[in-house]
Amino acid sequence: MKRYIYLLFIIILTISCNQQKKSHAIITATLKGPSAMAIIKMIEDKPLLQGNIPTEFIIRNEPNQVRAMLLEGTVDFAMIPSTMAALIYNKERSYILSAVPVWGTLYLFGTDTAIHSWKDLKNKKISLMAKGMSPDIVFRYLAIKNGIDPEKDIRLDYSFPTHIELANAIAAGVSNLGVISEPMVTLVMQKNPDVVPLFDLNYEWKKIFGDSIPFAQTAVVVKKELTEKSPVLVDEYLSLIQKSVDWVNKNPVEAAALIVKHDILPDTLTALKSIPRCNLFYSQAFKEMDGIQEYLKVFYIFNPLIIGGKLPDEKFYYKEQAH
Amino acid sequence: MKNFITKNRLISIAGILLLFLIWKIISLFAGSEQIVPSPENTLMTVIRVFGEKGFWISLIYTISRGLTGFVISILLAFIIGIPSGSNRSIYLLFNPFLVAFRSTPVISLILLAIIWLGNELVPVFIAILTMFPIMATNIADGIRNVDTHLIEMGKIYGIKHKRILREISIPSIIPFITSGVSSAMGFGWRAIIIGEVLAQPRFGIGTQMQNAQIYLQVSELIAWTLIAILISYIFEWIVRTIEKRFIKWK
Amino acid sequence: MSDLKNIYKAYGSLNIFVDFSISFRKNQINCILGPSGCGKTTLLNIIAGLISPDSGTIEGFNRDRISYVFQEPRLLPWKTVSENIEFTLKDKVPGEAIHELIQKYIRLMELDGYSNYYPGQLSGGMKQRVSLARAFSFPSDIILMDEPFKGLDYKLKQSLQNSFTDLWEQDKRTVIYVTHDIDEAIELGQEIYLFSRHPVKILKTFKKNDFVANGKNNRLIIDLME
Repeated sequence: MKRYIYLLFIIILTISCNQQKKSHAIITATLKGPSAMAIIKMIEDKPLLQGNIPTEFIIRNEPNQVRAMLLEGTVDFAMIPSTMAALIYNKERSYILSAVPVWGTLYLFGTDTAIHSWKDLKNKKISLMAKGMSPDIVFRYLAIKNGIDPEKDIRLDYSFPTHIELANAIAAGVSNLGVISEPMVTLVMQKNPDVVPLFDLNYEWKKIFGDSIPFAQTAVVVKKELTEKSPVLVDEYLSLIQKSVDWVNKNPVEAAALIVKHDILPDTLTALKSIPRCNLFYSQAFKEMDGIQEYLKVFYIFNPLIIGGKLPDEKFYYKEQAH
Repeated sequence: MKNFITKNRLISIAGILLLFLIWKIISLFAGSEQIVPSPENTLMTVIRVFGEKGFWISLIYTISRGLTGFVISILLAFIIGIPSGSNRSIYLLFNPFLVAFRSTPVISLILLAIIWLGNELVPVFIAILTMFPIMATNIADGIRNVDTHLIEMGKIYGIKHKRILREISIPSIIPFITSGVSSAMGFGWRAIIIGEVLAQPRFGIGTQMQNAQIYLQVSELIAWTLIAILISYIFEWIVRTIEKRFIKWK
Repeated sequence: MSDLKNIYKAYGSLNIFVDFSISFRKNQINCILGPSGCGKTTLLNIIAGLISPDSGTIEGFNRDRISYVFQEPRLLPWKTVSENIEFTLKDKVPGEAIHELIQKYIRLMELDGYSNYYPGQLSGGMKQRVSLARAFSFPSDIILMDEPFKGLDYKLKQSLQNSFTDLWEQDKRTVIYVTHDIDEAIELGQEIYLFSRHPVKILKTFKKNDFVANGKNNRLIIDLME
């Protein structure tokens, strides 16, 4: 009997320990791609906030890895797809949206040069990462808007669920068409010169929605608790992001060097080529609230479960003190 | 009613209730419906899931995959098993393949199959690869274990070959077949569900599970898991009942 | 008379029978007495048609009319007692008569009440009774018996031997009874053939009467068997 009480005690202890992860540094989780490229100056400088609080940066390959950290509550800031931000907010209420630094970076690319219009995709196999993720939804949505039924007219393939696997598959010619984000496109093009970008999905999106619905692809989320306890610190952090984005756009050569230094991309030529394609531009969440809601609504109409069953309320959007 | 409430039944029911109690306690300490949903909420979710449009389609697709896989496996098992059981050289020839398939981790087979076969076929394919080696081995063993003494007795008493086959060989092999089917069933269902989770065919219980995972629907995930367990249990029960009828003489 | 003439049988370099001949008188119990492993079972199997001799002739045996009682009961585990007896009768006895025949021998072998039992539920002795019932109910001219009561305890052995002799008294078929038990041979056999080790030779033939009050013959057998 005693043994069972000890076991129960251990279980309870473990679960409650998970709830309270105290850390003195401000930890940010970001993805290896345009997100990390946007804040590369911060990753390099590791600025001290409010004079003495250090910053740490964790760089992961897949959004799901960052999602896990958010569910555990072990990071203060994170850069994830906006749809994932809405999903987590609707389910957990633990993180809110503070800024959007990366806009549309998705491309349909591959070795099948016969593709000139959406009609040409009929009966072709297109590889996508993770079913239900933004690239999948965006592509299917655009397909429908261009008269292609994603269930019947084309073959959607999900055999390569991560960025790396899909990139390798296209580079190796295992798959002829794929949807992926920069900078992977440029990277694969360096590996295999037969690979070309076929559709710029950001451009396709604009063709349909104009400027009314921005392609707010990646969001910076911040722990709600932090915004309540230390709003000044949060604002300072966000302004640093803005400075980093401006710096990258104005100093692409130095930025490229840092990007390679921190192992985001393998060589400076690739980095240089992909920076402009990454659509880096800092926007405050609160200011862009209507546009972002419209963006999320597209997904909501497609399948409400993607963003957690409902559109987020206005408390989802962080309002900065100053500016 | 008196017959139903036996001591053993009461203990089993107590066990199940204890399970739910522990679940409830853990869910209270976990604090969030996202990490450990409470048993009541999960039960409500299960009931809700039953009513949803996608439920019956997913169920039918998964079960049909299971049955298709099963039928093909049995046929393959007989095709490979009978010659293996009857001829030592053939047995030695096939045995390494059967052992390899039996021992390979299911997940490796699935990952390979996804690359070669495409979403819809993977689950059935995996189920076949999992089930048929077990059944084939059992059939071969059954044939090899037919008691030659009994066959001699039949021959001496002038029993015709057909009757020897029907009344001596086959009844001797049947317990091996049913035990093979029984084992294979359990593995087969698990393989189908895992195959569906990874290959994501359009309709299926595994697909639903994966969706619940993506959309952070923990209750739904547990609900679908319970449904999968239930199906597996029902089919195992069916096989065991059939098995009992065949070997009542033991 | 049923005869085997000039039988040769070898397994590899092992010569079991080399120019071996033997005659059996019909309608009597012929006992074959010999050391274990000498080839007695091989002889029965040749008579039963299970194995062929390398050369030689076999006359006076109807292959379709042979019953065999083995050392093991050799019952089908998935058939009941009556079904086991029916199994061998099915193609040989017309349908209506089978049931009565089975009942008769169940009664004679004292198996009443066990008709629907499976072999798994029976003791060793009872299973052997079923084997005897099967052998006797079968319309055979000759019953081959290969050490049928070997390994059973004394009381059981006596009981089964008595049942066997009772059955035989009512229906005197040719029996070829193999044993290595001297007492059993003397008890049951009308004619006893003493076999040597392989290559098998008939050392001596005794008739039942030779043993009445003649202890000398017993010692002779024991000596010859060594």
